[in-house]
This record gives sequence, structure tokens and C-alpha cells, in this order.
Amino acid sequence: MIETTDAVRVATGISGFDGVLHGGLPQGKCALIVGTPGSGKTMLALQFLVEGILRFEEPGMFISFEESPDLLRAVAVGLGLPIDAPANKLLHIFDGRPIIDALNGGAFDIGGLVAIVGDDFRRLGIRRIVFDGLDALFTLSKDGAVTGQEFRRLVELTDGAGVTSLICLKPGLGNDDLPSKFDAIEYAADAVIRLGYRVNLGLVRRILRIVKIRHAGFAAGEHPFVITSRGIDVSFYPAVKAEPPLSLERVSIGVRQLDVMLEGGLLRCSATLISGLPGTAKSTIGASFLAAGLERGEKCLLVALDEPATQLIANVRSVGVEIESYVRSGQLQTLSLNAGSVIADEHFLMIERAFDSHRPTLVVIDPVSAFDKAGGTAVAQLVVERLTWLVKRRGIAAIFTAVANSSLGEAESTASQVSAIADTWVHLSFAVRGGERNRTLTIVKSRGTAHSNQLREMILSSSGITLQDVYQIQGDFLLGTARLEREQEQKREMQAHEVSTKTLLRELDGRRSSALAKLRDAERELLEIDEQMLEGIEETASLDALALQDRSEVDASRGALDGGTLDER
Amino acid sequence: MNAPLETGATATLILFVAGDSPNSRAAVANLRRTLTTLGGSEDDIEIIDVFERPDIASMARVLVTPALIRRSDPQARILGDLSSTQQLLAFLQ
Repeated sequence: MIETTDAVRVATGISGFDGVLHGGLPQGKCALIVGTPGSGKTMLALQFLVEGILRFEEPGMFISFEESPDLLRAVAVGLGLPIDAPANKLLHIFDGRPIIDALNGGAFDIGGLVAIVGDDFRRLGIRRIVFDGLDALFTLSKDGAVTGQEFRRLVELTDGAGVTSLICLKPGLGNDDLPSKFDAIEYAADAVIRLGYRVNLGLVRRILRIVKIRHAGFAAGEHPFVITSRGIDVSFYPAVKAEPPLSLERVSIGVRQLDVMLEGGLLRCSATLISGLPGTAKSTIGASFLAAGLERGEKCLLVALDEPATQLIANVRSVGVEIESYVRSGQLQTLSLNAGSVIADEHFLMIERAFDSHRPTLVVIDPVSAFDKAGGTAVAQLVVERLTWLVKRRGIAAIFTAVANSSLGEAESTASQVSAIADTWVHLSFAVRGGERNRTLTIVKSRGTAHSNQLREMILSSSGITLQDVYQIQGDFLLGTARLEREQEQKREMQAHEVSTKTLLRELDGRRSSALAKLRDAERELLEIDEQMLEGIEETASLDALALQDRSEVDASRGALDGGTLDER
Repeated sequence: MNAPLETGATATLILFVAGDSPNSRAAVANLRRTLTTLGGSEDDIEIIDVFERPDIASMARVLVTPALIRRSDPQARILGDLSSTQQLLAFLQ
């Protein structure tokens, strides 16, 4: 694809189509639309003109070789063209249906058409033109060379006037190829767009594919589209994702313990998958999530696919989740879709339209696995991927529930492989043991979150959802009654331990008191001993003094010499 | 196409041509020749160039040229260069 010489584009105004076209049709060029009857050619072409009038006030000309102008004008009104306003006058419809009883009298050309169109361009200032069913004009001619030559005259005419043109052609019956006499047209056209449809499991999936745009880029591949009364809606999924708004805001899931496990909740621009077998309370978590958001004043959207939204809302009331009043106030919008009635692409567009009109900040789609019924898993997978992308781009926090495939046992994956796309994946399960079926919850993954990796027991009560820690004994998890028993046993053990400790303390306290008493007694005894000893010492000293005095008196009375004393000794 | 064709002339036959394209020139020649064999005159034919009168071509829904229209009730038309004399004779009689 040569991007440097990219042609100037004319926005068709058709939702998604301009994205596929990288902006629009090449301005002033001729685009071919090839499709079997009923593939949407006329609708697409008419919408191209109506949007040109509504958005850019560009006069448009529709040359119809198949349908009556009255019918076309009615369809155009359905597409949004006002009935009375001056804008209505900007749509010119020319009845080009062949005159039925005209005889074929030899070689001809389309000089009349070229003259009429050229005149209209000048008189009416036409900017967009459609030749719908141009093949009708060439039914009389078997000559491919003539057809190609005449077609080039049309191309020259539109090119010269700078009018963007769409030419609708039917391929041969029974195949998708144009009759060979139109080969030259396919070569000469600046763009070739093919419309078709495929039947997937009984549902029609319409497909649009750009075959070529000369000197210009486009999104190659098959693009699903739908036709509604409001026109064509192409489901465009660009190859390069626009970066979603970055937000670190956490949104409560409405279950306190789960918020804790997820570091405060779900990220604002993210999609969370909640998978599990039927009855594992996926919807209840979804509803709790909405209830918390509604209470905060957020606008919410609930898309119900298996059971109608009213039933789902009534069901979750039994576990204390009340969101019904918000439906009445309009804060919560519900969309109940019949999965399997139309191709999943159509449901995707309905959801996208609900995003546009209600502008929710929280969304629950319950369950996305229902899309598997709407045209097969390949279609469903892409639709869920697109929904994930859409949610992030719109700054929405979303929960998608998915019914786990029971035929695969407890395999933690869903048919639509949402798990790989989702930012956070919570898996719900049952554990059956000891005559009980207990619910469990695990966080399988959570991007950008240091989430808990532990299994929790999930308990539903009339006051909502609570999560309990589970006991692991020799690799076995204890749930329900077994967990309760274990909890009580542990409590008893604790109590017993507490009692023995108290006894010991009391005993030690007693021993300490008695030791202290003994210490006091000893101190008192020591003091007494010290006092007695002091008294004894003082008494001894006074006695010594008396004895010395007596001796002196005796010595004096004898008058004896010192030597005499010695001799005596 | 049953609405009366107002061209400002009253000839019974109107031949729409596209400039002097080969098909158109052939049609004029073929029509004149056959008309002569039938004893008709030039006054019976009105030749309209669609590029000069696109309004009349549009009104008559002449997209394919050349086209010969017979003013009658009902109107009749034959498309192409009128190369089949036999077919043209049948149309004119």
C-alpha cells in the first residue's frame, strides 16, 4: 500500500465504514460496489448520499436502474433525510429503469446517460452520485469491450467534475464473480468494495470487504456489518488500537473481601471475566458490582443475555442486592438480548449504541458466553474482544460473566476464550465434599494488580456475598461445615492453652510472693543480728575499761617496782 | 414512458443521438435510408442530440443512444444503430 500519495477522502458518514476506508472514499473518484441481491448495495449507496446531505449539505444524485424513486425516497427518509426541510431537495433521484418494451436494434452507447448526468452536475451542483444497478443498462450488450469503453466514459465524466461516485453492480447468479464483460469495469474503477453474507449456524453474517482503493490505504479483510432501519453499521476493529485512557482509579466490586484481594477493586478502564459453572453466583457478583456503583451515583448498563434483566434483578434481591429502584430512576439501563436470534455482530452494535446513548461508566454483560450461540465461537470471540476494547476506550469498568463449559469438566476456560483478553479473571467453582456443595472463588489473573492468589470460600446470604479464608490441611481445602468445625476446634485449642497459661502465671505469682516474704524475714533477721552484735561490742569495751582501772589501783597499793613485776611473772 | 413528449416539433419519429458518435451516425443513415424506401420524408424525423438537449433526454429517459422513439399511443422505442433493416421496417410500419 502506497501511503505517500494517499488520495483525498470523502467521509461517507456511514458508521464504521469510514474507519475501514481510512477516512472515506477517494474524492472525485469512482468506487464500485459489487454484491448479490439483498447484500445491502442500495442501502449503502443511498446512505452515502443522505449522509452527504445531512453532514455536508452536498447535493446528491441517485440514478436508479432497479427501484422506483418513490420507494427510494421513503428509504432515504428512514435514513434520516427530512421530509419537508430544504435538505430533502438536495437528494435527486432519477428513474433510470429500462423501458420494458424497448427493442434492441443494434450497437449502442450510453451517450444519453452521460449527457443527462453531465447536465445535472452543472445545473444542480452534484457532489455525490450513485448508479445503482448499472448492469441493467448493459444487459442488452454482450460485448465486454463496449461495456468497458462506456464505463470509462462515466469515470471520465465524474472524474472531470470532481464528483465522488458509487456504482453498484450485481455479480452473476450463483457465484460472487462479476460476469466477464464487467472485467474492464473492475479494472477501471478506483475502488472496489464487495458486499456479501455468510450463513453461520442459521444466522446471517453480513461481510464487507475492500478489494482495492487505488493509491490509498484501507483496512483489508472482512468487516462484519448489519443493516437496520437506520442504515448500515459496519463493525470496524482497527489493526492498531487507540490507546485507552490510562487510569489507576480502583472501582469497588461490591464485595469487600474481594476488593481487598484485588488491591482495592477493579481498574477503571478494564474488563473483568467472571467464569464458572451455572449456579456459582456469577450474576450475583455482577449485580453487587453494579449496586456499589449505583450507590456511588455512577451510570450503569446491564446487558442480560441468558435470562431477561428483570428476572436477573429479581433473583439477586434474594441475596440482598437491590438494584431495581435504579432501573426505575433511569440510572441503571438494562438491555435484554436474545442470544442466538441474530449474529453476535448485531448484538455488539446494539451494545455500542447503548454505550452511546446511556454513557455508562460501569457495565455488566451477563454472560458473554451466550454469544457462542450467535454464529459460532469464532464470531463470538471477536465480538467479546471488540467489547473489551470498546469498554477500555470509553473509560468503563466492565464485568463479563462466562459460563464455563461443563462438557470440559471444571476446565477453567470458556469457549469464547475471553480469559486471554480480560484484564482480571475471577473463577468461581464448587467443591463437593462431606455431603456439601460449597462455592469457591479464585483470582486467576489480574493485570497490574498484586492480587491475592488464594482460594476463598464464597458465602451467599441475605446480606450479600462474603468471602472466607479456607484452611488447607495436607493439601486439602476445608470448606463449609468442615471449615466451621476446624474453626471451632482451633478456638477450643486456643481456649485450653489460655487456661493453662493463666494457671502457671497464678502459680508463679504465688511462688514469687512467698519468696518475697522470705526475703523480707531474712532482712529483718539480719537487722536484728546486726543490732545485737553492736550492743555486744559496746558492752565488751566498757568492761575492758573497768578492768584496766582495777589493775592500776592494785599496783598502786603494792608500791612495787617495774622489775618486781617482771620477776613475779 | 407514456407521457407525451414535448419537443416543440411534431414529427412522428424522434431520433436521439449522442453527438456524432459512430453509433449515432449509423443510426441516422440507417433511418433515412429505410424511411426513403417506405416513401417517407425528412419531415417525419426530428433528430435530437442528447448533449444539446439533456433536458429532453432526461424527460424521455433516454439513457442509451441512439434511440428512436415513435410518437404514438402507446409510445414505442427501438435502441441502437438500427443496423437491422428488417427490424426497423417492422418498427416503422
